[in-house]
Amino acid sequence: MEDESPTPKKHTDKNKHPKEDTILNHLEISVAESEKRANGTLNLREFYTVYLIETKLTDSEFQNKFPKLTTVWRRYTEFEQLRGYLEVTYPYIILPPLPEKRVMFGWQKISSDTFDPNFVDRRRAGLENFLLRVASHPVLSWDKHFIEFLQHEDDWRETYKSNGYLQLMENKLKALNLSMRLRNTDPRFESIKDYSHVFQNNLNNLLKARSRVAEKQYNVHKLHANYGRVFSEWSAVEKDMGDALQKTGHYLDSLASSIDAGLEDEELLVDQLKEYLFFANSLQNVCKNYEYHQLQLESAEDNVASKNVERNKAQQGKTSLMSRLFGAVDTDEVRELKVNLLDQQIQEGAAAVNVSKTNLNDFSTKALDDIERFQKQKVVDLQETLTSYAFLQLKTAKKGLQTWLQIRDCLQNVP
Amino acid sequence: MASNNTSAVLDIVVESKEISSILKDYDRSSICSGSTIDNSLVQSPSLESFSTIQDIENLSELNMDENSDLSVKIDNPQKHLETLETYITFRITTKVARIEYSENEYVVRRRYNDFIWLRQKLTECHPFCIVPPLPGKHSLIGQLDRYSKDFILLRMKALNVFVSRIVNHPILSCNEHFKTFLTAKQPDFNLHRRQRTNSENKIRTLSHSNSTHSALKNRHLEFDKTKSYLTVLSEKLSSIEKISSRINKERIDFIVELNSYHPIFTTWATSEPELAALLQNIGCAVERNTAAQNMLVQSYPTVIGNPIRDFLTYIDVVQDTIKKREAYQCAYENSLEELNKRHSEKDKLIASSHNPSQAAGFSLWKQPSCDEKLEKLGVYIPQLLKKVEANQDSLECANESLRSDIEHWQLEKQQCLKKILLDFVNKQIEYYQATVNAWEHVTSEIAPQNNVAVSK
Repeated sequence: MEDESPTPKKHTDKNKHPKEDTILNHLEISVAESEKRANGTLNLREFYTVYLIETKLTDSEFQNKFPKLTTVWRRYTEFEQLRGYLEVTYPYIILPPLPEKRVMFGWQKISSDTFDPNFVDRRRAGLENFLLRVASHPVLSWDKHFIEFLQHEDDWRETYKSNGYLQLMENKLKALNLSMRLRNTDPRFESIKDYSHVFQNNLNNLLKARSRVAEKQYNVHKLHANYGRVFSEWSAVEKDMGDALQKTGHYLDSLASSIDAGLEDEELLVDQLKEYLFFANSLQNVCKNYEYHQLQLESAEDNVASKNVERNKAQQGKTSLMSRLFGAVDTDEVRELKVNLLDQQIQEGAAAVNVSKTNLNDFSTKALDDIERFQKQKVVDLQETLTSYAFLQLKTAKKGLQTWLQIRDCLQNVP
Repeated sequence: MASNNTSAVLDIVVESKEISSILKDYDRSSICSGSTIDNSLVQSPSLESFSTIQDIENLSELNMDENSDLSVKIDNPQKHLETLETYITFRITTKVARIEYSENEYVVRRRYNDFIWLRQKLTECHPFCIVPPLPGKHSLIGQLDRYSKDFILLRMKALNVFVSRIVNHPILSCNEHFKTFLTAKQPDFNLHRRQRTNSENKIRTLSHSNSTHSALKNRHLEFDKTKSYLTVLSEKLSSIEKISSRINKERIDFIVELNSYHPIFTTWATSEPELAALLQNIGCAVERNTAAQNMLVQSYPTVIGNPIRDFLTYIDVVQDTIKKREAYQCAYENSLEELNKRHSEKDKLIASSHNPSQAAGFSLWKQPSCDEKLEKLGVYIPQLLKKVEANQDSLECANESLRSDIEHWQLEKQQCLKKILLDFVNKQIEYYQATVNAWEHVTSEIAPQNNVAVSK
């Protein structure tokens, strides 16, 4: 591993899977803090939040490449720019998503204010997660601009503006928005596309239903606080029962407030599911990129085919307007000239087809490779998330059970 | 207790024939005695038995205390179809070891109206006892299905509570009418019922007229305290009932959401082979949680709604009884005031007769009437004095009997509320236990999976 480290770029070139080395083996990345800042003059203030990225070196052999500790402040929009750049540069990679821009699947307790401390902190965690995902990706982690993003606060902004990726991104997006009619599609990508839609649908439904369930669960719990109040008032007028009633009131109050922590934990798991909901988009983008390549190939092939037809006609000397009008046949010289020209074009076209074909093949292998990696990662991640969900539910249920058992003990002590 | 339960259930099955004979007896008697209903032939009573096992279990624990010298059980409701009316009778089984009772066991059948009569009699005989309330008449909606199984079982349960409260009451349980109610054969009972109806009105009107003007001069500290305590208690209990009904409504909404939640997991499982087992399990756990929650919601009326409402009427009865006492205090205070008034009148007259010089002109014609008045007062005041004394006596009796009865009631209240609260808490525990079990099933499935993954 250590021997390989000076020439890490090897991995980006080859798609084979030797022992994956990622930047995360040598660094520790965290988004440690957030800060609210203001822009512009006093009367035209625009507020935004910046996040502090800390990069610590853990591998001493890396020292020549990286300083020991670097910190940079970045805005959410800069993360978006980084991701946009990666999206254009690595069309075959299922890019890790950024945390939600606006609150999705919110319910009464979740604030929709993007400056809400809770939201900011969840976004901070989400951004950190994004960086870690990129840094643990065998290809993405070695990207120059990504490393720049972590290291140089201002330089990166400059290079980002100057390197023309903005333009490239726009073109790419335009190309992708064209409706594509393909003659041949790769069944592998078709099934991935279908899967991504099903996956997205399921997660979407799940998250929607979850937010409604959470709201009801919250209400049910919070209503118990009313019991708490009544019981403690009641305890004031009772002699023998007073103590038990007061304790019951306290327990019911604690039951009502316990839901806050439980649902906060749940919200973190929901964020993990949201990440996969957005991953589904990335998956769809890769499929679209595939279709783009396929389209390139097919239009190149079409071009060659039409040239061939033209050439055949030219050989028979029936191509020009004159020949069609007057039934005249071209002279041999003219005919030969045309055929030669077309032959040349066909050759060029065939070369273009070949290029497209290799592009497509290259893309397909890389993309399928990354999809495989993604699927494995997905199973591991979701397994963990769902497991945590089950344990969290168990914890909440146990807490409730314990509270009611304590109440029972209290009441049983009533003479 | 368990063996007791089963035997209680068996009783019904075995005795069903015996009961039909009792019923025939009853029907014949109602004809012979000129019938309270009509003279036409009585249709054969339907022998539809409503007794169900679960409900009897609960009842037996209420009343069938083997150690007490008097225990009463109400069960086996039967529907009687007659030309003019249809009604339900309940079987009342009494086991008794008291001298006043000649036998050890009695079985009679009574209808709801008989219970009303009994309660009426008890309030007449013991104006300062807290006579437990009866379950209410059916509501407007209830009217439609007043012969429905649910309604009858609910009423039967409530009647058991009513009777058990009387049985546990030191004074009421010894009441003569109660004894008749428990023991009299149907014709005798009908006769007994009709005989007394005439005398009913007297006491009722008395207590009614008195209770109207209840502006008391002297507040009775102790009873006032009880009164305000009862007000607070009924306020708190009704808030608890309101809160739990609100929570119940919210839970119903919650269940609706949960019902659309768990299928999502099972649907998702179909497209994720590696996660299928876990997703299935989670969906299953959510479903089980939903079912458990549904049970909790279903149990609401029997566990919280009805018991609290029943207890609130009981509190009302106590309040009414305290009010009745106030009528006596009022009578006493009025008579005392009257006495004082007469006394001062007399003093004035005596004073004016001693100082004739004060108003010589008037005294000429006033003198004879003054003597007359004095004479009248001389007769009236001792009468009043007697009345005051009598009123004071009865007030003190009332105070004493009410005081001891409230003491008794306080104990009963505590047990009753404890039971209601514990029933409620136990239902919650049941629900949470089911939820814990459901999720534990998921997590226990996960643990070995993870181990496999680790070992790989």
